[in-house]
Order: sequence, then structure tokens, then C-alpha cells
Amino acid sequence: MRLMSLRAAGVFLAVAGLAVLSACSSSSNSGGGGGNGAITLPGGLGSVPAAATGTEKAGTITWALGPGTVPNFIFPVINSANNSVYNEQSFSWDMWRPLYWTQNGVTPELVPSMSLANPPTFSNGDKTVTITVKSAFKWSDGQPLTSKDVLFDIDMIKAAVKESPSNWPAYVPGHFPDDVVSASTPSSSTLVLSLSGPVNPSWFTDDILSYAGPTNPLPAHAWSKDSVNGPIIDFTKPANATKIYNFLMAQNKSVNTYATNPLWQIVDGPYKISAFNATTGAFTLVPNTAYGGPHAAKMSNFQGVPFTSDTAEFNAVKAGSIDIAYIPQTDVPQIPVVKRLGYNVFGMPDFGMNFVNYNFKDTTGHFNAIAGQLYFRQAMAHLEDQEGYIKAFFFGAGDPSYGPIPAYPQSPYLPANAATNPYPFSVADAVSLLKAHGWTVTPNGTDTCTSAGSGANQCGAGIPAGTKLAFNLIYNTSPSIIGQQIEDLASKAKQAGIEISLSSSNFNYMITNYNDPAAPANENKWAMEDFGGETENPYATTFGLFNTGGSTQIGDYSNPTADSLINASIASGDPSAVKKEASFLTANQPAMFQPTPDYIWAWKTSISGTPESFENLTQYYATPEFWYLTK
Amino acid sequence: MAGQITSLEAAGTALVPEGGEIGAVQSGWRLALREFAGNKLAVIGFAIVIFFVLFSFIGPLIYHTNQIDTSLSAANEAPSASHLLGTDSNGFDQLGRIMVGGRAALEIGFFAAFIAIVIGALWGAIAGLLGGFADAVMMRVVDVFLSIPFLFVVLILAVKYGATVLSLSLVIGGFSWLFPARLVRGEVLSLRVRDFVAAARVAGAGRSRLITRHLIPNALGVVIVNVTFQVADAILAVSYVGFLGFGLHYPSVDWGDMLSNGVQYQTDGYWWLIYPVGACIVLTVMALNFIGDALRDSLDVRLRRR
Repeated sequence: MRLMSLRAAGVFLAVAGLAVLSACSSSSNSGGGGGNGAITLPGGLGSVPAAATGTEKAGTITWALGPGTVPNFIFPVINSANNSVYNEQSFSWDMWRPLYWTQNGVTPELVPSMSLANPPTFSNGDKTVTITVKSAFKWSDGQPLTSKDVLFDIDMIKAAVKESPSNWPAYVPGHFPDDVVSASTPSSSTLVLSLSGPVNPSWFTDDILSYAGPTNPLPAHAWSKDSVNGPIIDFTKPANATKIYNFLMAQNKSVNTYATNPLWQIVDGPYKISAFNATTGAFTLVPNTAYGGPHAAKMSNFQGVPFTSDTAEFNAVKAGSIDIAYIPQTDVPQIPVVKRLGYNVFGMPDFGMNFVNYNFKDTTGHFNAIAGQLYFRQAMAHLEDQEGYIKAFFFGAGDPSYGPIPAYPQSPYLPANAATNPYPFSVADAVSLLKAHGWTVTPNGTDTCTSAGSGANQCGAGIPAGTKLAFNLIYNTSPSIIGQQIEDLASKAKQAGIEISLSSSNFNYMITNYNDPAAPANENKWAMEDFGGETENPYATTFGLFNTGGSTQIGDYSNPTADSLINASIASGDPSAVKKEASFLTANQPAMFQPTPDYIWAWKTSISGTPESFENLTQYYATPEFWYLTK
Repeated sequence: MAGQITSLEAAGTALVPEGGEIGAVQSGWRLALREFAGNKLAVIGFAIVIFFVLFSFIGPLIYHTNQIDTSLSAANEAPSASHLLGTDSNGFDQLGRIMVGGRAALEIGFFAAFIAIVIGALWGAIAGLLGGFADAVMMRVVDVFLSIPFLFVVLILAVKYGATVLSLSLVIGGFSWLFPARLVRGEVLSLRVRDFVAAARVAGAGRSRLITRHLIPNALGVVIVNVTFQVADAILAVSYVGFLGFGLHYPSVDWGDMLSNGVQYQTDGYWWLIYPVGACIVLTVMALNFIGDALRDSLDVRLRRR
């Protein structure tokens, strides 16, 4: 799960998940059939044509890189500061694959055929994990991919977090890799991890071993050294591991040598890098002929083409000069034109959540006490016109979302109470809730608490009589749909007598300064904030985000029931734990959940491949190994 | 030709030097006004500014729109009888929105210009009158401020403290007094050696009286000309800030923010979100510059038409 800011293009700025898709056409997507075998999916926009039959041709396929999305990090052990979908799913993961692939088209689920290892087995009360690497995968220099390569990656992660917790984005103290008591490689294909406590198998497989870090096997036979010309050293010794990690990170910082450094030419994924422009971020990947996973009969070169603005990118689409490109949100009305120009178009919300954070520590005007009241958060939810946002701001290209699990794309984690809006848009309902809890409502004025106390019909503990229902909200200026939604919210709130003072900021400033754990000195400077949202992990627990003291907390939400349910999601064997967690959070509204716009992609009709390989573009994944030219 | 009578003498024409027609003596200001009124561009500019003042402040009283409650069901509607310039993405009537935005632009423009002129005139007058080391230090301060990228500072302050009509006016005005200060200082350096200043000194006038009663009033021409440019610059500055997304916020709005929102839809044919508000910015700034140019021509004796 990573922070993201909705980009003007409808692209989410940060990160990642894993993606996936199966090479075969046995998708489990519950899509319907469109014309000519095209696949339509619930909640999606447009359809994806079936793979073309006939002669497959190879060539060069160009791929649009929007502003701020060019890669700048190649080493698979990525740090938090650079942890983005643009560095991972559409760049480094094409060269070094995660141990498990968990994106099947638009669906977050394990894809065995694209995984480097067989599904892990859990034993000893879910405290022992056994991983068996597949023999089909080899390094591009011909060396076999072994269990030691997986262990090498884990030791690099340990070395990384030892230097700084921010060196590995999935790090949570006490959890992986801290909870790895011992790791052994009884055979060249088997790795056994002994953990200090039980883990939920789905969580450990989907989030730890696949997505969140992720765990990418690394070529120990070539990278386990501490200098360019130095010998291979024993990475299992912590001191050596630190030296190796520092050496590899130093190589990674040399951006202008990405295409020429021999280290980066040893890959297990479908592609190798052949060109990289350190100034623009443009890159070219060429097929790795030794790749052992599924792919098209003739793989094409994959070329990332950077654009400095969405306008420039969309102009390239209209000129037909880019093969695969995103459609900016504001250009949705132009989709018919794009189709006429010879592109297929498909959109689907990212498997993630957009939300407005409450600051549960802001004592300004007793907002901490106000935000702590469920009735207040419910009233705020009633003021959100999600259907209106989708129509007016997304041009219909998006889906409502009522809790941490979005309704679309479909997943096994959606709880029943999030399938329909538990707090439908109604200013009158919001007013009723406030009146029923001791507030004197003044439409287009400012509500006042006139019945202080913690009784059922009173304002709540910590809210003295005379308290005004007025606070500030800071929002990210990019993309504009954030501001548009917030303006509407402020307007509707005003009708209910809730006075919201708006101010704008930018993504980087917000996550640095309007973030209680990161900037405790600013706790009283913001009441609500909207920086964008987060992508979900394939196993969609909100561990880190909504548990007390979570590593990615923003507003310090804390609820014992939520803590218990979240802990069950990661430590119990209950397969429905995440659904229970999501159900509670949907009802409890730790944040204001917002609708999710479709992430829309266009690709030339002369390019074909498995439908899933185009569907997963909407989830930030690029799997060009499945694409081929038909003309 | 001595002794001969010229045709001119015969005609009774006097041989005295031609002195021109003697009329009533006009003050410099009256001459300047006449000069200004004779400048067509200035008159057009003045008319445009008056139009926008009326449009922004009186217009909403005639053309009633709801600029508080959003109406998403009416978002992005094309111009029609009910919405003469269509609606924006939040369903606000665009014509009414332009009026509200114009009010903010003019308020910020004039207030920022006022701040800039007051600070700049005083700073320049003091520096010019004191001269020497004090003058050097004060003008180096001006130089230092001029080296600071103004727009970045405005953006940073807007992000950190929020943007309101007052805060933007203070920030823009706080960075715009530098040129007036230089202009007034130059004028004062010339004025302070004039006889009337010396006479005032002899009569016992102190520095503050010299500045407020003699120097600034006599530098007023320079100041007035600069005011028009200051207003235009401030309107442009707030448009820049708004265009970058850091301008005024709901329920207020500024033209730059409106233009920024509209430009996003340029490929969708929503011209009513772009051209009208763009034209307002251009026309207002252009008109103020016309006025400024004409004022400079009319107040500067050397540039005045004969």
C-alpha cells in the first residue's frame, strides 16, 4: 500500500502493486463478452478485444510516460522515497520479477504461471514458510535461479532496513524481515523461513512475498560483491550484506549508466535495458531471450517515451505517434475521437482508495473531539455526492467507493455494506445527525454545539458548549478533480452549517507537513486533508494505514476494534479477515472515502495480446511480453 | 531697401515678435487632463476599466447567480438563455463567476498597488532626501528584494498560509513597492536641490514635512503613472498564482483559477470556460497599460504633444 496522488492524467502518482496477468487466457475475471469476442468488465469503461489470431510480428512498441512518471530507480530493493508504480510495475519488474505475481488483469489475485516459485506452504502454525523456486526460470547469463537468490534478496532487505527503516517501503518494525528467525536453503530450489509468530498466509504471500516490498530474487552469483571488480562475497554475513547493499545502491544512483552497467544486464524477467536517457527518463527495453515465463511468440522492444504535460501526451495520441498511452481525465469526452483514430480504449479504477483524512489530533476548535464522533463522520459522508462527482468531474468514467475496498475492480474483499452507499448523499440527513447530537444547525452559517456532554443526544466528550463547527481542509492542487470534489463538499457542508476553510497545497508538501506521524509539530495546523489516495495491496488489509501507530498513518485514527480486526488480517488464518476489517471501517469511516476515477488507456488496434495484459494497464502494470504486432 | 514701405507695413501688420494667442493660464493638471482626454487609447482603456468595475461590482446586483451552492447536475453546460456563458465543472454560472472573479482581481489589484505605492513612495522619498550612506543602504535593500523571485515567494506563502484577498494583496504589494521606490527616489534627487525645497528648509520645514508636503506631491505624476502599471501587474500576478492552483479558494475565485480550470477542457470544446475569462484578463491589463502610457505622456512635459 503506497501513497498516491491523483495526477491530472488520472494517473496515480505513486505506486504500486503488482500486477499481473496470466499469459494464458484463463482469466478469472467475471467479465462479459463484447462484440467480436471483446471483453467488458463490471465497473469498467470500454472493452478489451480478444487476442488476435494469425501471424505475430515483432517491432518496437512505444509507451507514454506522463509528467513526473519517468523511472529513476532500477535496483529492485527500492526505498520508500522512490517507491512508485513507475519505477516498479512498468520498469524494474519487467527486468526482475517479484517472487509471486498477484495481478490478473484487473483482479488482485495470484497468477501461478507468472510467479517464479510455486505457491508457498505454511506449517508449524503458520510460522514456517517453505518456498520452492521453479526450475523454468534462469538468469539472462544462463545461470539457474535458485533459492539462494531469494535469500540474497531477503538479506539485502535486512541490510537496507538496518541502515534506515525508509530503505524498504513495506517495513514495519517487528514484522518482515525482523520476524525472520532463521532462513535456510536445504536445496537449490527450496527456501525455508522460520518466523517468530504466525502470519496470515494470504497476507504473507500476496503482500510480503509479492507486492509490498516486494521480494524479488536477485542474482547472487553476480551481484554479491562490494565493488565493481571485487570478488563474490558471502552475503549471509550481515557485515558483508551491508557492504553489498551499499555498493548496489551506489550503482543504482548512477542513473546515466543504467543501460551500460553489466550488473543491470543480468535479469530474470522478460526484458533487459538497452537504452536510458538520464535527462528525460526515456528508456528502451529489449527482450530477454532466456526468459522462462509465458510471453508472446515474438516479443517486441518496449520503449518508454516521456511527455512533459498531459496535453502533449494527448496530442501525441491524436497524432497517432504513440502506441500505448493514457487518456487524461479531462479528455474523456474525446474517447470516441481516439477510437476513430485507430485505438482501443479501456478504463477501470485502480484497486485503491481515495480519501480525505481527518486529523484526530488537531485540537484547534476541539476538532480532535469532533472528528472522534462517529455521527460527525457519518454526517460528512452524507455530504459527499459521489454520483455527482462521477458525472461532473469524471465524465462518467469512474465508480463510487464507500470504504477501504473499492467496489471496482471486483475483488474477494468487498464487504456487503460497501456494495451500496451506507451514507447516501443527503444534506438533510447530515443536518438531522447534527441536530440529534446537540448541535444548533445554521444553514449557510456556522453550527454551534448547544448541548455539551457525552450523552447519546449530546455533542460528545471534549466538545464544550459554544463550540463552532468550523475547521480547515487542505487539498492537493493536482489533479484538478481533487479540488473540484473538495469545493463541492465545502458547498454542501455550508448548507449544513459546517464551515470548511479551504486552502491548497501540493502532494510532496502535504505528505511531509500534513501528516501527524511525520510532522507532529503541525498537528494543530490541519483538520482535514486530501492528498489523493493509496493503492491497495493485493491482500487488501489496511495494516499500516488505519491501525493505531501504523507506519503510513496520516491523521492518527485509533480504534481498538479496528486494531483487533486489522491484526487478525495479518496474523490469523481467517480467510475472511480482510472482509471483516473492511466492513467495520466502511461503517466507522476513519476517513471520507471518495469515488475512484477510471484509469484509461488507449492502444493501437495494430497491437494485440492477451486481454489481461491490457486490462492490467489500469492497475499500473505493464507486461509488454504479451504484446505483438498484427501488421 | 531703406525708405521703402513693405507690403506688410502697408497692410498694417505690426513688426513685433509673434507671441501667440494669449488665453487663460491653465494648470499643469488641467493640461495633463486635456492631453489624456485627447489620447484615444487612453479613453478606451479608461472606459474598459470603468466597465469592468461596474461589471464586477454592480453586475452581480443585476445578473443574479448562485455562486455559493454547487450544482453538479448542471456542470459544464454550454451557453444558453439561463446561463449566458454556460456553467463550469461545479455547475456555477460562468458569467456570474467571472463577475465574482473580477471583483477579487480588482480588489487585489488596487489594494496591492496602494500598498506598493505608499511604501515605495515613502521609501524612495526618504532615501532620496537623506542621500549619502542612508540612501545607499536603502537602495541596496531594494536591490536585494528585486533579486528574490517574486512569484516563488508568493506561491510559498500561499501554500503555507493560504490565499485570501487580503493576504494576496499584502504579499503582492509587499513585493511591488521596489520600482516605485526607485522612481520616486530619482525624482526626489532632482527635486531636493530645487529652490522651493531650499525655501521650505529655510522656513523651518522638517524632513517629514519636506517629504509629505513638498517632495511626494511634486513626484505625484510619477506615482500616478506607476499606479496603473502596479494594478495591472498585480492582476497578472494573482492570475499567475491562481492559474497554478494556489489562488483564492471557494467561495472566492479568481480569474487565473478559472482560466486554469477551463484550459483543462480545451480539447473538449468548452470554449466558454476559456475565452471569456481569458479576454477579461487581457482586456483589463491592456486597458490599465493604455491608461498608464497616456498618463505618462500627459504628465511628462517633454512627451506632451504641442
